[in-house]
Amino acid sequence: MENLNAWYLIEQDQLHHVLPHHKFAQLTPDSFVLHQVFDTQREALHEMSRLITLEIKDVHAEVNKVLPRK
Amino acid sequence: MTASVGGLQGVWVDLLNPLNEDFSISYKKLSTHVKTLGAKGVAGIVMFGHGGEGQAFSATERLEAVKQMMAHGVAGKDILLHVGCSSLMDSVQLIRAVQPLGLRGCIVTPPLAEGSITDIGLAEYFIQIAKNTQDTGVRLYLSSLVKGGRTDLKPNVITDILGQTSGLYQGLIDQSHNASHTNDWIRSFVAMLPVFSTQDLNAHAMANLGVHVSISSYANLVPELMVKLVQSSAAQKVSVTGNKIGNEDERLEQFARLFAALPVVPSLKFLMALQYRDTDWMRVRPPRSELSRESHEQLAKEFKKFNQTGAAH
Repeated sequence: MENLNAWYLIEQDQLHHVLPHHKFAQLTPDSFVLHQVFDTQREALHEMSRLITLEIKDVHAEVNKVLPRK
Repeated sequence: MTASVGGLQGVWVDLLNPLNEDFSISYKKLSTHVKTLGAKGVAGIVMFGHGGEGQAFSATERLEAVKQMMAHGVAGKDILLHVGCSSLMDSVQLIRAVQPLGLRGCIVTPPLAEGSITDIGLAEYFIQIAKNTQDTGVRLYLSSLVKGGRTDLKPNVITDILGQTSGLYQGLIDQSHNASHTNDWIRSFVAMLPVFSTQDLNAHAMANLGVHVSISSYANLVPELMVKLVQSSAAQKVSVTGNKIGNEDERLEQFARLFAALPVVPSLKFLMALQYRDTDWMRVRPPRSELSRESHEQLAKEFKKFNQTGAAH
């Protein structure tokens, strides 16, 4: 199956990136985690934003667990 | 590279369908999932199989979904479609309708069981489908159901079908998840037609028998692992039953154990929801229902542990 025109949402060194196919193909295997592949850059960026928002919420929840209640 | 067997090669994913609130398919999410699987090495997709809740979708819905995937850039040659409908003519019409789309092939399963189904009637169902579509040139695969019951395809029924449809079926797909059932089919028919299994845990053993093809629902979640298992080959010839070879097999067994006591499709969809962080993936079409809330916490915990162990490997 070929995804030549697709956009790749990856995580590398704890950062999210959106890449076109030709840049994705140049990545070193096992140096990243592939999240999802999208038809358009816009969709990929939208998903990246959603994931980051969820992760911020996760961290927020973790911090709230640790912090003493006033 | 391994050779194509019966027109197939590599991992074909028994595709799970993400559903909207009204239980229609979310084509956007589905095409994203398919492209993601493609980037992870799968060869193609099987639409509306057991994982795709095929029996819950009409012929019209199946045709529309195929067209939507192709509109999103999935090539017809990368799609296998389950066309088993309860009505003989619905199955025939669906095969005729997809002929211009150039799909890899159509998988024909027995109709849902009714009291009056007989072996003769079952054979005739498959014979008529093949004969009524032979002018289309669509490649057909003959498949059992996951739980055969009265509609299980017994070897004598398959012999009868193949005898009367010479060359019209290109392969046999055993969905039984029963290793001895698969073994019986291999022993009886491998000289005539390739036999494929949808039992994920058989993938390595089948590869050792020279069949580097798997129709896999687990590949929705662990595509790279399934690709490794299917591409592998060992020097020794082994039987389908009782194989446990190497780290990949153990890893797959760990994955299977996550939901061993739970219904498979709702469990896989729940895991998809966790993987993509998208609760829409949990939906299943009635009369099936989502995994119970009580199962969520434990399964989520086990899945997290499974992923952490994987990262450590």
